[in-house]
Amino acid sequence: MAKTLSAPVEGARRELGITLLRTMIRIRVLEEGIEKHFLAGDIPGFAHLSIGQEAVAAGTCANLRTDDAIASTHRGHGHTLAKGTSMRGMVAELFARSTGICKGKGGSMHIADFSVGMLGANGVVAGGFGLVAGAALSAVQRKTDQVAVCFFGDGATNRGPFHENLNLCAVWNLPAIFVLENNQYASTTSTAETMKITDVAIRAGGYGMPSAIVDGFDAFAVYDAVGAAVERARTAGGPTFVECKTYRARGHYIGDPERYRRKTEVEDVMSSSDPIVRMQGTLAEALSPEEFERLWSEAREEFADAVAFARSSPSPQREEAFFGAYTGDRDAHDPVHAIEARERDTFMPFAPDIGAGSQGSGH
Amino acid sequence: MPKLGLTMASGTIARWIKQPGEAVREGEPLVEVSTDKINYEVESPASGTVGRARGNDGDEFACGEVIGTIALAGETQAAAATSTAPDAIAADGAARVVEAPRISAAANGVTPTIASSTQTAPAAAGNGARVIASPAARRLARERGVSLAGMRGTGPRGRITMSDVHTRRQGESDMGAAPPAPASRGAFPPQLPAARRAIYRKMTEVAQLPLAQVETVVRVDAIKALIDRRGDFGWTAFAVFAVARLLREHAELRTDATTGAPLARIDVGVAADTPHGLIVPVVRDADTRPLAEIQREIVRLAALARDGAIGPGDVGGASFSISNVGPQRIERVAPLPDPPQTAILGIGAATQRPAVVNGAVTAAWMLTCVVSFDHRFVDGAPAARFLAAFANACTDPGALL
Amino acid sequence: MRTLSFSDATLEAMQEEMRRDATVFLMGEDIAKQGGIFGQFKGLPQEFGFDRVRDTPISEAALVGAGVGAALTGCRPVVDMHFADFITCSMDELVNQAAKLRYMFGEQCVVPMTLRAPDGITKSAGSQHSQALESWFMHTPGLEVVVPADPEDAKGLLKAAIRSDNPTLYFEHKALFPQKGAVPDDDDFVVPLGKAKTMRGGADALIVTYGITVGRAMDAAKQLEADGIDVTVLNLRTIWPLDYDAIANAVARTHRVVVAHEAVRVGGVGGEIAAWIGEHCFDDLDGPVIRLGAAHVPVPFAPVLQEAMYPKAPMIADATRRLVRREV
Repeated sequence: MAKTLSAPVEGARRELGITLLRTMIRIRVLEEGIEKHFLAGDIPGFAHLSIGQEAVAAGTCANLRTDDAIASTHRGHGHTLAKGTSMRGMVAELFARSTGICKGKGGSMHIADFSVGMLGANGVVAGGFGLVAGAALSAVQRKTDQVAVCFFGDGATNRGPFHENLNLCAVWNLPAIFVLENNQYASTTSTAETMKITDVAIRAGGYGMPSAIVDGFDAFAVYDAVGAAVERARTAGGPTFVECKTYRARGHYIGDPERYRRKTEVEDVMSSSDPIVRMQGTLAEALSPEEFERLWSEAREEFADAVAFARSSPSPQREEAFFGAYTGDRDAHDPVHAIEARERDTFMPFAPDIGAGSQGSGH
Repeated sequence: MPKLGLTMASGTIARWIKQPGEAVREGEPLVEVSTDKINYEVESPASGTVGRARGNDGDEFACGEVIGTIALAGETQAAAATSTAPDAIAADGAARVVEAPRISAAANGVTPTIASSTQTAPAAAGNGARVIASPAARRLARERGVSLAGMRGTGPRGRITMSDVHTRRQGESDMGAAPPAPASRGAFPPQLPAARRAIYRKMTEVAQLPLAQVETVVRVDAIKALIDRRGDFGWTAFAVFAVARLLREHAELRTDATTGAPLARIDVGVAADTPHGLIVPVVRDADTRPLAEIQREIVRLAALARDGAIGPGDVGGASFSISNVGPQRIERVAPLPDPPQTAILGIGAATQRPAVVNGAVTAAWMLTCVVSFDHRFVDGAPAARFLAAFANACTDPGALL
Repeated sequence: MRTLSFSDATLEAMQEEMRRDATVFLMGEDIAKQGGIFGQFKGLPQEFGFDRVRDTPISEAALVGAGVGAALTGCRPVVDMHFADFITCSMDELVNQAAKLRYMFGEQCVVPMTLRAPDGITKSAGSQHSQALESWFMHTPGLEVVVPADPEDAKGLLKAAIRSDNPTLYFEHKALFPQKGAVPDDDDFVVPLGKAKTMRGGADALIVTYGITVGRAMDAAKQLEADGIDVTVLNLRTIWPLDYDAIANAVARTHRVVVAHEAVRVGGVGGEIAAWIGEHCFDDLDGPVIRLGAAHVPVPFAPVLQEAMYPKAPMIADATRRLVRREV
């Protein structure tokens, strides 16, 4: 059901809206496509979808430069795409190809793109806080005005590193922005079960850090709130905590039986709050139906191209398993090289020639 | 070739008791083997038919080498005869090599300071038993072309270590034209009696040792008087008695060359001349035994040696030896230590000689003593001290008794 | 050559590296104002500013995590853990992040972080302040591990660790800090990673060791001289990557090996070395490879108990002697 804002969106704001919408649609198409291919057996391992949370990724990253850093979570496809990584690189990575952005060594949960400042999705909940504190500290050391953004979920806010790093960034006045996607569920436990508070943002106050709470389904609202935080950080104003109230439309992971919530709950929320529908409604008078449709069809084409690229890409060479952990290990003069080369020689006779798209049986 | 004694490295076939083609029952005497002039009757380990012998009378084999086969009941001689290489494991299981003998005297009761009685386990591939050797020792043996068969391991649990291979190789290479490993035949002087092979090899080894001597002339009036009065001991027995007790304190003189440490037990060897040649029976625990008992023991051993009936428990493993040429009325002998012993006492005949007492010349019973020692382990001073102590014991035997 | 204390040698290394590279900075608990509990950071904030020498809150996870983040984004941080035992408070940051990011991300990034960790048994510090944990990190692909034995190592290995583009753990034994030793005068003295040093060469036996146990092995070697036994002492310097070639060459010369360290023997670095020697130097061995390490108990407080449970010179000499005498 489309909703229209009272004021017409025009000028720069209209352009921003289209940018945000395009990003959200691309994320949605990517995520739905990943879901389909995962269920078809094209993607090994785990995948965690961010359908329903697109506005947070789009609204945040539209404020950032390429040389600003972000750290993401296990549910990071949206953040990665929004920060500027190509769909080809992402899909090839998920399809375990050598042309993937991580050469097939990371997969969905460890996808990263340092060329656009994306410091990686992280398989450890709350793994990103330290990285962002460090990236922010690094900007201060190198005397730049770069900022660092940490995406995280409600579950991460109960882990030690959340507290340690928020405190550190506050007391050292680091240019970090903490963007909470409060989608109300960590794996299978709702926020009501795992914390006494409803608004996690009040924890930021406990560390002396300013905070904001926004509607995470509203890309403009996210954009504005994060924009203010980025401005504060760039001008040595220190860190900010932005809590985005949002919702996870799919299970924790693809295949999650979702026994922790009722199907009707999902339907209710998404029918009223789908961020894409919201934005389309907001821009209803700014764009024609054809222009909307073109955003979708372009996104679908982009995804189809990415899948074709992935499909036609080779699997990584088996020898690659043994190199890449140390900077010297491809250099014959480096002590590590000989050790890793011996490992390769020991294992290669037994390394099965597993085609791409299979899980690896473990036998 | 069974290993019939702790120090046995090889044996000579003295006489096949059963001939090829003859039937033999388990436990029946099968072949007579000699080593260090002791003859053993080796019992058959199995019942069957004796196959072709690999060696004839007078042939020497390293311990563990195949010397013959027995075809078990129902099996063919051809199978029994197929074993070829000296160290080959018995072929097809259809033949059984002559193995550890059932001789009750196999354990001669001597325990060296480190290795245990498992040293008596045959240690060659020829009979399927494992050779316990360190990897480096094996490689060294391979590189030097030395067989581990029959080699004595002095490492823990009888393990052959590099130094064992070195020592053995050292002995071989220094033999010059002498025979290499005992396993190869025809390497002795062609006319040398088979019975002399062991001593030939040993003396060739001894020739390379840095030997030294200390010597003194001892007044033995007191002992002579004691011998004459008591009549229950002789010169040799007294020497054994005194030497054994002195060796408690003078430990260097009982150093074992293989370990470099003194042997714990004080077993004293006594060289004996027999119709069969030189034999050195051993008085066990001589330091704990009274003089009269030592005398009786010496007599017993001498009789056995004369008769060629001495058992493996009565030879070998001594910590020190004595050679007495007094009975031959010879004044002086400088004997060679018997490796791995590192010292030996030679005693000459007691004769009346001029002596200076209180500035005046008088006649006194004297005898000449020589201690020969391996200077790698024993220095002149300790040897001299030991000899001096022995001299004191001779001039004042009452103190010791 | 000059004579320096171990802690002064590390200080020199820090000074030189911080002068040489503006992206090198240092952070940890109680280092800037206090100068480190062993004085090993004295004067650094005065020369480089409190921005480059930072006291942190007691937040090991943030400390190491931020170190990783800064390393990923163009800096070369040196993170001081205060006591190696507190690495346990930042295991995810070290093991799941620092060690793995370069590999997982397909070599898109480097993690040139150095983690300094004072470790080891001294002065009844008790079980939570006395551990030696290097074997955990040898066991973690992606990390480098170095353990200096003397002031020369202290300076040269710290410089190498800082310059390395890989995450490097630098375990410095607390009891070594006051020890003096010769340090080369070279302008830029760096000990290469992955290369062991022969402290003395003798043909009778080999003692493979590292860290504070090197000094103990040298004392043992002196004692063994009186027994006519001349040993080689090999100071590994780097635990990972291990200098397997140096070990193999030394085993080929000596044939009898003792591996000794202060860390717990069970599951320790000695196990990897002994097993590797068994696999790759089998025919060189004239006896079993003997391992010495602390007993499998936490480190006790009372001096008489503390001193009972880890290997020092007499124990090392005894094991070597018995090995040479073929009693084992």
